[in-house]
Amino acid sequence: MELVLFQLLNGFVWAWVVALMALGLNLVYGVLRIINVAHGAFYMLGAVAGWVILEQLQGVSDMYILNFALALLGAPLFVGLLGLLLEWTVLRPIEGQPVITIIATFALLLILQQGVQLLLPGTQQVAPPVAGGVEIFRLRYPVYRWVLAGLSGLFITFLWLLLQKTRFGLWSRAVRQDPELALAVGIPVPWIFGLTFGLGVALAAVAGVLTAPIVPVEASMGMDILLDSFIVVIVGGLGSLQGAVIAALILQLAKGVFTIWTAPVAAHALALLLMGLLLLIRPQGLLGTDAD
Amino acid sequence: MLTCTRRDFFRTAGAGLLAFALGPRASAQPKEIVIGHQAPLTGAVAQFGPWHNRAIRAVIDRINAAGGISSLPLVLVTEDEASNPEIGQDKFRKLVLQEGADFVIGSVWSATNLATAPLARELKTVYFPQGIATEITGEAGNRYIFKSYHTVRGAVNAGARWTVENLGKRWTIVASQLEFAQSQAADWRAQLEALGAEIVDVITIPFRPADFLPYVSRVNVDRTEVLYQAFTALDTIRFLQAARDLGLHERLKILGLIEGIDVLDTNSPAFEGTYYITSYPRRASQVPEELQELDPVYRRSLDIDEEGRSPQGTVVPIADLFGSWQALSLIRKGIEQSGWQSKADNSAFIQALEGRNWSAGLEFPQGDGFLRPEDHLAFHGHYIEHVEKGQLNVLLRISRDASLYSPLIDYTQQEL
Amino acid sequence: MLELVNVYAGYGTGVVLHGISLRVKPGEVVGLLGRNGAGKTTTLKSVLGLARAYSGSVKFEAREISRWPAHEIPRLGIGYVPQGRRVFPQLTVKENLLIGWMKASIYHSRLDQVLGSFPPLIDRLDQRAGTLSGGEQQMVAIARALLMQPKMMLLDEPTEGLMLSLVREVERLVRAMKEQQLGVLLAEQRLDTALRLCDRIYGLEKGTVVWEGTPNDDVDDLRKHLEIRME
Repeated sequence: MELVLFQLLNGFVWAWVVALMALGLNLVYGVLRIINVAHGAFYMLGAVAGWVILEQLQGVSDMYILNFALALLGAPLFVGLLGLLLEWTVLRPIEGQPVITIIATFALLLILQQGVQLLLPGTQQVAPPVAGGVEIFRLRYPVYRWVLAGLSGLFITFLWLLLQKTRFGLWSRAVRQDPELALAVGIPVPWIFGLTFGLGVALAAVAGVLTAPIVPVEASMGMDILLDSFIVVIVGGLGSLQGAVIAALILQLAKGVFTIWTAPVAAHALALLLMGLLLLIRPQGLLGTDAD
Repeated sequence: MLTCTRRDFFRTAGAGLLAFALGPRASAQPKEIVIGHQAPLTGAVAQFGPWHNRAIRAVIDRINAAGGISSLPLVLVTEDEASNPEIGQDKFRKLVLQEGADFVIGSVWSATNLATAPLARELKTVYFPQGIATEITGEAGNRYIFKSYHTVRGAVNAGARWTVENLGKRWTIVASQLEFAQSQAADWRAQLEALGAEIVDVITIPFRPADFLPYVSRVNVDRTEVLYQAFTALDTIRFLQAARDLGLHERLKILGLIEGIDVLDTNSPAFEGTYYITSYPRRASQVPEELQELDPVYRRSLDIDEEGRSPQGTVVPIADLFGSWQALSLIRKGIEQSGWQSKADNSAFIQALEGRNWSAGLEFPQGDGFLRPEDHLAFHGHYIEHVEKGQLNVLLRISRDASLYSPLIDYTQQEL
Repeated sequence: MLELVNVYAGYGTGVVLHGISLRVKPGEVVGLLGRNGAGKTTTLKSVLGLARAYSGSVKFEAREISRWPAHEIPRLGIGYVPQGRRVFPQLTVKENLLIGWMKASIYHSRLDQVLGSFPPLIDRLDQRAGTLSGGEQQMVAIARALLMQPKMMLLDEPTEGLMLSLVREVERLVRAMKEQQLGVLLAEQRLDTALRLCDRIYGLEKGTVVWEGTPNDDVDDLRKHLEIRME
């Protein structure tokens, strides 16, 4: 029983990370109609940038929690600005050509990955801002992972507020529904494109910094989670943000449950299989109206 | 029969072509001895390659300063094998065929060692693998392979009795999928059964898993007394952190080989109270009395301080480097004893090393040792070290004989 | 205030307009008549920068705007009511109305005034626009454009598919625009509507102007020329 609860809890925590990733992917797809294959590289870049910031702050400040908070804000900011720049320089000129765009984002993935490999070979380790475990209902679980789930939820709430309560959010939702009409009412659509892409990859970077203390930080780290995020986006329904969160929960909880009976690698495969079945039942995705 | 003949034909023809290609070079009078280093400078064990390379360079410089071996200077050629068996094979070929390496010191990556061993025989070049998977001194190896430093089984045998008697009799083994870790799981299983200890569970974990927690949570804490862990450095930290997060440190004893934490700073709560079987103390203060005169010489020539750190403050795999150091000492002994002039004298060289004894000295600062003729494996002393207040302390010194096990093979029966 | 001279325009590499020239003055309602595919919508879109002008000039208040980024053009004071009652279906009525580029404070100060002309919308501000009836959606589209204080309105078949009572309502709104000295460019298929509303009319066929005149001219010629259906 304890093992069941434990694996469910662990799946629940990971679900928020995957949801963060999938939300970024989905946001970009919804507004720009771009399938961003490089999303995993921005996740990696977030973790690496977070590590670099922590290294730089090491001598400056002794408050590791504060340093970590700075990394958690600084790394996504950096990655977001880079995303904005890349949208302008790389993706803008090939706007409206889906196949070329996929190839271009794949090229970005390779360039970012190899670039990091070149500049920072090997694997880095990031210490968690809070160590140790706590016991809740006789279940001992690392404190940091609670924090991780909480912070992910917080960022997702911020995203929701941003999209629902601000003018940027209103415009971004309008562009998602009808980009031409958006231009005709004077919405600066090119800016919305750039900012949305920046925001999307910044969400990946947030996920990267948050998971850095529990995974090895290295150039190839974004691939597994990219696969999970893509599946979550498709099963949740392309463009549907709520669908992505629900699908992330299903995938990760299923993985946790399967881990009780089989090895984690096999559990992952089984969970993906379950997602495939869900897609057979609902090919348009769980909440696949393609807008929200 | 026919296929056999045909294969023989190709082999002979191939060897002939090779001899032709190498002919002018091989027959020339040697002016130098070329030492090849198949080094993992990048990839999974990139933390080790550069240290080994530095150690080899330091020993070569010392030998050359003293006039070389039999008046021939040593030349070092290094190739990065990227912790990848296929690249390792290519680089071994390159070292031997293009760079004319006479002897090759191998990677610490066991998969590379196992892939390279048949090539060593094929190219008739003596190879000193630095990985510790037990198989390399068994069927997977051959008479051209010399293991100048222990294998997993040697280390396991050295530590088994004391740990079962003092740490506990109910064991859970958690091991990476990698060769050297699986080697540990298999060898412990055998040793524990022989000593009458109980194996509660064996948990295999893929290399660099996304998350350690689902695995560590499966450890049966109530039934287990000793948790044996076998990982590479980075996974060791992540494993120990996960174990600590789940409170395992307080409830059971955690044991591993020094290879898992060789390059790690133990000054972190995740290491506190853990045990290691090692072949040399990290800290100078822990070195036994009879080796205390040699220890500063060893540390000084490798630029390692009394706490086992480099001048930049990083932890140096001090015990692991004996493998490369002793490989060069053995090359010297073999050449001097056999009158080796070129690879044509390799059989005399090999026979000279088989069954070689040595005692502690500048060439063997780790202590007395012995190279068993059957499987070309070195036996030497070991230690049990324990992390207290963030520092490794020696609890026990274990004699060379404790690590002895019956050879898996007899290379002396193989043709040269 | 708006002047097109010899405009060639289209989408991608396809050319739809082959040398259109026309003018609209403040307080003038100008009709753009033609069958489906004649180029009415493309003419409006070439003003807005939504269709690409390959050559020729598009001038608004003496400024050449054919190379401007599309989202800058509405800011000059050009309101657009697209064909087919286009709203953002997933946004609420209120969000649809306040979506434009202007400052929120301006919107709020004008909202009550504009809504006065569209009483059915007042109770539906928090409803999703996609759930409104066709006529209500058209009102949202017109109100959205009017809220941005335009100097000129581009209307693309605003009465298409509406009930007769709503057609009258739209016609009333167009006259109100004229009274407020707005320039109006009205793309239309119905000749009767155009004759009632317009000061001048351009007849379009295959992307060129084939007829130009006022409702007082001989429109039989225009009718024959364009084979425009009468209701």
